[in-house]
Amino acid sequence: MATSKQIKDPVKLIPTIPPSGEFDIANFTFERKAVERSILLKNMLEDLGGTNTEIPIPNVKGDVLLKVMDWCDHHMNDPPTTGDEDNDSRRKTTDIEEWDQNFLQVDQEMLFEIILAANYLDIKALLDIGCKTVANMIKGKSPEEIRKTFNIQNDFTPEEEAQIRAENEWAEE
Amino acid sequence: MSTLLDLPTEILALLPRHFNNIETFVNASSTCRRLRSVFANALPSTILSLAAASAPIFFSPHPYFLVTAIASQLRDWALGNEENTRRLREAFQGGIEGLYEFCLNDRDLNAGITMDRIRVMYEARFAIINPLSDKIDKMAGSQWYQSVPNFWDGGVSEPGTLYTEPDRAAFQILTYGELFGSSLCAFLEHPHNAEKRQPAFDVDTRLDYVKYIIPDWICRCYPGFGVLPTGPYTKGEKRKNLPADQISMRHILTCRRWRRMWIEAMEMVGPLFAPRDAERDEFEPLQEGQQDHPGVWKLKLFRDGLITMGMQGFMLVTVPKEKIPAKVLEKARRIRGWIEALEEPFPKHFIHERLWEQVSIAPDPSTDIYVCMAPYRLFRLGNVEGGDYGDDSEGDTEDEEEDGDDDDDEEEDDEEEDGDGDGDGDDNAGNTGNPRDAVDDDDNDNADNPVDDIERRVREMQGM
Repeated sequence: MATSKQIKDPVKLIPTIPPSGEFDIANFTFERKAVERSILLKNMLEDLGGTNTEIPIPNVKGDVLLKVMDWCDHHMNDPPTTGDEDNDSRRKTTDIEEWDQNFLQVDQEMLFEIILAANYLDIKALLDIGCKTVANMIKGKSPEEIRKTFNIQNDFTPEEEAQIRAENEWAEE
Repeated sequence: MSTLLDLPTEILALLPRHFNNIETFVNASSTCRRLRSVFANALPSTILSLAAASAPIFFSPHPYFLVTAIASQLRDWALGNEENTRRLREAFQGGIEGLYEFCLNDRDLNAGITMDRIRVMYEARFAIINPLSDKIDKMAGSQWYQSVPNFWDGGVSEPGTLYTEPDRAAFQILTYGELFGSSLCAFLEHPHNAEKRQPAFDVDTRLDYVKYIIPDWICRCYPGFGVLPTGPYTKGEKRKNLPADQISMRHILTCRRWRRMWIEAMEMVGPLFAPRDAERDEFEPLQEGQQDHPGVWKLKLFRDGLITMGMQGFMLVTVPKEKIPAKVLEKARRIRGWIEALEEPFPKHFIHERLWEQVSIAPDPSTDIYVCMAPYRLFRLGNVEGGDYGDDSEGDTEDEEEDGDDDDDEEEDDEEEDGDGDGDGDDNAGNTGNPRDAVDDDDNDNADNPVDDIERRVREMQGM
């Protein structure tokens, strides 16, 4: 996090849902380059112009925003993602670099909040690794194991289950 | 508290493209209604990628199964414009692996497969593909050799040294049908009016399919016919281990068992164009004063029409009559009607007059294959010409091969494009005329001779 050092070209993000515990707005001042990892915020900054800008952030809890900005800070010098990659429906690699793996070693609730925030703030690369992490948690598990992992209720009727079994017969070989 | 199912649909819908394979996708879809409903809208291109990741397990023979499954998309895309057709030919030139990679990765093609299509293919495996493969095995595979006593001494009417992988052969002919069936229909529907005709593939595209997707050690340049040193013919190990797929396929498509098998299918659709036994065997000369029955060419053309219906067409020879869908019989009747109205066979043109090899303007699987394995005829006559690939000029260096700066390669490329070049079949320095010398004239150092290799594998099958 960038709070203890001199921040170049600072931007304040004001979470409308503050974090639990003591709230220090100084913790929510970030380098513009890191903030611009979010396409939503980048566009807002361009529209607002000037420096020392403050942007209110609804929909993202303060502690989630801090976590997301931690990621943006680490990745602020990454090359921007191209639209081509985003539109490519083909399979993405399931590999996640080590720093990101450690970054996403959080409980499920935080993981899904990060994914939601990345989606809202339009941070494609973060959304991508969030989805990859969930996909990796599903990988190799049976339906029952997946239900257990994510606390999902089996809401199929016996008829639906029979139909699913019939549809998936080819994969039972 | 946020859980997986609290994520909005737009995010849940992103998950499948990050899955590692189709099994994970199927299992995740089977956990609850919400995921099942969201994943039911997964893009076909995503499902294809996931299927590819599971291919050797679920979709074998690999990569033939998946290529066949999406061949109709490939066809429609390639017929869209000349550039796409050119790119399809380029993909063929990479062999089956190159074509498969193209199907998976080309963004313009954007190929995909649905779960429904996977299920259809799975059902087809048992209803159509396995029975077809079994029939092929009895015509040209190990069952053919093993089931007949005195195989070489009158046990079968057409003994020959073949090494056939029945599954692979089944998919090769199914894919030919899926790709080129619509082209034959286009010619049949408007035989004389090219302007009214639906888009159809030309001869060069068909021959590229046969050359590279049904590879054969005997397939090589001869005057008027080029084979590039790409895909299965890439210099090195691949080329040393070339199969004999064209020789096998040609045998399958012309043998009596194959013809008999289709007679019943043709009778299901309508009266035969010629008596059941009117077709002569390959290389069987006409006796003095004897003439072919005038309907023989229609008989063969109708068989080709059914074969090139792809998966649907092969239902006619594998599925019990009462289970053949009405639409399949209806299409077969339409094809028969077009053929009945024809007054003469489709024009053929010479690959090269010196060799007399001719190819039809309309798809004709057995002749397309014969043209590609034409050196085999010369081999039988003990007079192999050509015997080279596009890179076999003397003085080649490995570097030249790899960086693609070989002038001969470029010349061969040009010849491939216009289809009237003479390859470098004339560049035959050092060819002794002995077919076995010609076979591996560039790989003499340590490669087993393919002829010996095939004979060895056949002997193994026969338990000799």
